[in-house]
Amino acid sequence: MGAGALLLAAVGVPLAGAVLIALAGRAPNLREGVTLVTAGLLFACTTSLLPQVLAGARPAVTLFEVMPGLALAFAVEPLGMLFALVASGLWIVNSLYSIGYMRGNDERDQTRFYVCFALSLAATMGIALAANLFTLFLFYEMLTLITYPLVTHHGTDKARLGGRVYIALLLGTSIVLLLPALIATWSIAGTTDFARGGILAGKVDGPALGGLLALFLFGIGKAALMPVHRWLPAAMVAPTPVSALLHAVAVVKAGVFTATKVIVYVFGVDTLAAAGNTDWLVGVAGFTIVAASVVALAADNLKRRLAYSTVSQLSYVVMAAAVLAPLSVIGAVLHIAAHAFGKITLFFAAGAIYTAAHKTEVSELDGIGRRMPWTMGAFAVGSLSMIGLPPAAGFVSKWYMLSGAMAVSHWPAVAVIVASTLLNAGYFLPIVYRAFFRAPSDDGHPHGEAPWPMVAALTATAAGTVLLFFWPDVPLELARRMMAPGG
Amino acid sequence: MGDTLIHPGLVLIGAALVLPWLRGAVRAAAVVLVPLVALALVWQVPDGAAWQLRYLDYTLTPLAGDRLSRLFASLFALAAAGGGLFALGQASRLEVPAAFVYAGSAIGVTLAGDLVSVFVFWELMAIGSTLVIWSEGGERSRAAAQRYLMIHLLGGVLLFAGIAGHVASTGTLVFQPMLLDSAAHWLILAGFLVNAAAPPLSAWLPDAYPESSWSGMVFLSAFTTKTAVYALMRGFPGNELLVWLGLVMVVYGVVYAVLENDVRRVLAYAIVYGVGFMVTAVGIGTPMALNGAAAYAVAHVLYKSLLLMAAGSVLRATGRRGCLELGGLYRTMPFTAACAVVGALAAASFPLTAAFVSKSMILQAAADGHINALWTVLTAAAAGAMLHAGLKVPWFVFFGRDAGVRAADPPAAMRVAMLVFAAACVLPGLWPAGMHRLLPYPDVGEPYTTGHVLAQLLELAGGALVFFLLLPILRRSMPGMPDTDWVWRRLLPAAAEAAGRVIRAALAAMARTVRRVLEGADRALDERRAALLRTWPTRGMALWVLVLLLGYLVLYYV
Repeated sequence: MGAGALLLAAVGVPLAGAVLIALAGRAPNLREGVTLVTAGLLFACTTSLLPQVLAGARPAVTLFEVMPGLALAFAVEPLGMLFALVASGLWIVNSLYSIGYMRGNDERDQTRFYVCFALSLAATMGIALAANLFTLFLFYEMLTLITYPLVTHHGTDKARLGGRVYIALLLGTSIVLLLPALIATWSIAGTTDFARGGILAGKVDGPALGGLLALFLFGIGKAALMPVHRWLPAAMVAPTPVSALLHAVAVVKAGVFTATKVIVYVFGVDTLAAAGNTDWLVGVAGFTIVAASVVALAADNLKRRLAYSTVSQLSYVVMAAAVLAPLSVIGAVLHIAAHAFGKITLFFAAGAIYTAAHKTEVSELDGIGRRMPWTMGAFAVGSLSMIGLPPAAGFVSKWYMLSGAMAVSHWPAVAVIVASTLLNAGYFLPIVYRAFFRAPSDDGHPHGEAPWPMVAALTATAAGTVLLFFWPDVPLELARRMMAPGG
Repeated sequence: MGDTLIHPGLVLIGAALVLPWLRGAVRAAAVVLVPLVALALVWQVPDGAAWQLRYLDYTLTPLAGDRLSRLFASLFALAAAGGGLFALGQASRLEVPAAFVYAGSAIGVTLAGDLVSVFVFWELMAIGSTLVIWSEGGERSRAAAQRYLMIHLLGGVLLFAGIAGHVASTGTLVFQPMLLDSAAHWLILAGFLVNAAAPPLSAWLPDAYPESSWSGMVFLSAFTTKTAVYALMRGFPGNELLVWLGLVMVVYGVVYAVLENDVRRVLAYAIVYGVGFMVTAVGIGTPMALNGAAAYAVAHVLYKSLLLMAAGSVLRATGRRGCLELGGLYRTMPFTAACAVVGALAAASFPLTAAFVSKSMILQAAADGHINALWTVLTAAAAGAMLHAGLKVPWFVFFGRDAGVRAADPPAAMRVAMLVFAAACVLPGLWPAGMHRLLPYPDVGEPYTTGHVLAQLLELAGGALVFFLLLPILRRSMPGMPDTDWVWRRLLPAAAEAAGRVIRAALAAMARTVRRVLEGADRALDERRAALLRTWPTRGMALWVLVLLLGYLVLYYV
């Protein structure tokens, strides 16, 4: 298959999968089989693109042109390659997990769930492989819409309320802020194609540049910069597989991915560094990191704590990109992958606890590590990754982010990372302690591990978190290629 | 790449992962033999880089050797073996594996040839030691370990930032002496000093260590602070700042130890005192001073382990830790009492012990450097050491007023561990040449000059005199003193709590605003029967998106 066809297949495979899943709705085993095969095929598509990207090729394909300079087009560059790989690879694991979770909890409307999930992945691939801002924007909106039924899956009032905040904030910010930014970029640069060095380089400066940057960064609600972060904790009403893949990986990473793309390919790192007015962005992201962690510290609901941790970790990416040192931008890219593996593991664990023990609050987890050693062991690995300790992937991205901040002596950023390290330890490690060192609470509800597909999935992602520490080569090479001249 | 070499630290860490599943005699054998295997492996590490590997953008040297690193690595392997033997009867199944991770990472730090490897093992050490404290299982140890971990993660991330800055500006990873000429190097020094229990954060040590189990503190006393001394010797030898920091630690340790009632806290403050001595020696930085620091580290691990084993045996048998609640135990625990006396004499640098041999090197180096004020303080402090360690612990616990507590000597394994360490405390004192041969530099001086021996005996006599003169006061009360740990035990949590309240209130206000706007919009839309914000028939929506996307595809192929 040619590279162009592979690009289209990456978007098309999950679409076709969605249709087949809908058709197979009456035969659950077949339906889940289709999901797994689709996920496998998608991953095959993205991995077969990888050698070409690593070799320096940038396959591209244009579907059609809407207006001059405004085309629906796909192209793959290192950052998009990494995002596509992470999202498609974790979809396989997440599908396995979903099977255990949806059946274990006897959830309703499972066919709709799997259909929407496949469509979300199609939209995610569209974002990852978009050749220009216009295409990215279309798929970005599509992802918001198609994840809405997943967020409100339970159909309760609470779910509807959460879904309302979710869709209003994401759609609202994208239409009120991101769309004008997109149009402004198009009219200034005459194109929205992502290009090395930035398409706005030399075309805009001063307050206009800062204003446009603000429109973009707050417009990309999925990046969850405060104050547009509220949708993420609201989305926690969704079933846990949704929180795990979409609200720890696909949707939120689409946000920081877009933010990084805008900084690197629309503005250009050098342009922003020369303009010198990105310190406010480091400030906003730094505040988000610390403030979200402080909220997480007090959250007793496990998923809420994880959600605020995600808000905090997402801003790591934005802050590291906004520091504008080459090393810290590499760190930002690596963190997209590192956080994905760590956080999906944590959510998997939260869902496994819910399925096996019907517990949702941190204060209920005394001694649960003795009953669910695999789950809580994986949770401990994920926690280490969040704090940035070896031997977990979070260490590698933190190394680059900190190296970059130190190289340009950006002390506020260094201080934020120092503070955040302690805060992360402050709200993750007590959970690990409770699980393993407290005596189990005797609630007359004996239970063991969750169903095996869930345990297998969370063990796999925990193992991935550790493996990424020892062999970060592929993400690192992609990040380097993005920053290298001619990348 | 020497493929045939095995990393001794990784052997211990690997064993830790298997240990929880072993039982009975196999487990006992593994606990004692694995550290000894590691010890043998340490001596297979040649001078210079032994392992090299590419990691990230760098060439790492996770295994490299020289005289200094092999000395410290051997010491740590030995301490792990002794601590393991002592802890065989420990009910917690996690403590010894955690201690092996801890010891293995400490060995990893000493055998690391580059700063990234140093950092990786440094952080593993923090995790391992926290698990050791947690293994005690009580609420006090939980809280103490949480505070302990926070301090060490702070030190770790400072070190991390420093190393990152050092590498970014110099491009080299090699762990070699540094000057305080950049912010990055200050950060690295700060990271090392946190683990050395240097001021202003010294209080983490007496706060956390005594809360570990009866066997856990034996491990804890050996690795963290001594690894920091090693790192300072390698990174900042001869830095004058260290002379003064070390002196502050010596004085701080003595004063707090004198006023403390809890036996294990006395010994914890005494660790700060001993490490202060080493830090001062590193600051003096001459070959003899560095030899003295290394030798004193060895002596310190030996006698401190021995004293903590004795204190641990008492704690295990009686459940008591206070000086004033114990006394007269020599009647029923004669073996433990004898070992405690040997350990106390060694702690007081009595001639014929390891500490005497090493301390004379440090004092000689200070005298050679004509640092007279220093000399005075150090010798006075040595007398103080006699006061608090040499007499206080054995006197109040094993002799003195009989508190009526009756407890037996510990089981055989624990007695063997104590006996081995007691012998190890004395051996280098009887045979200094054997110890000299292990030291990194040839410049060792002569310990048993008439001057050294006389001066030491005089100080000890003076210290003993002061102790017995003060005894009536000590017996009435040992109140302890508020330490700097109130900053992070009381002030910081209160501040975080207040900040949290403000931030949460702000966020809640924001959320209310968002909700009000949404509800307003919702009502407006509802009135016009617009469906935008209502729950949409989700099947329909999925279908529409499908149609839309398929449309794109069709358009492409048309």
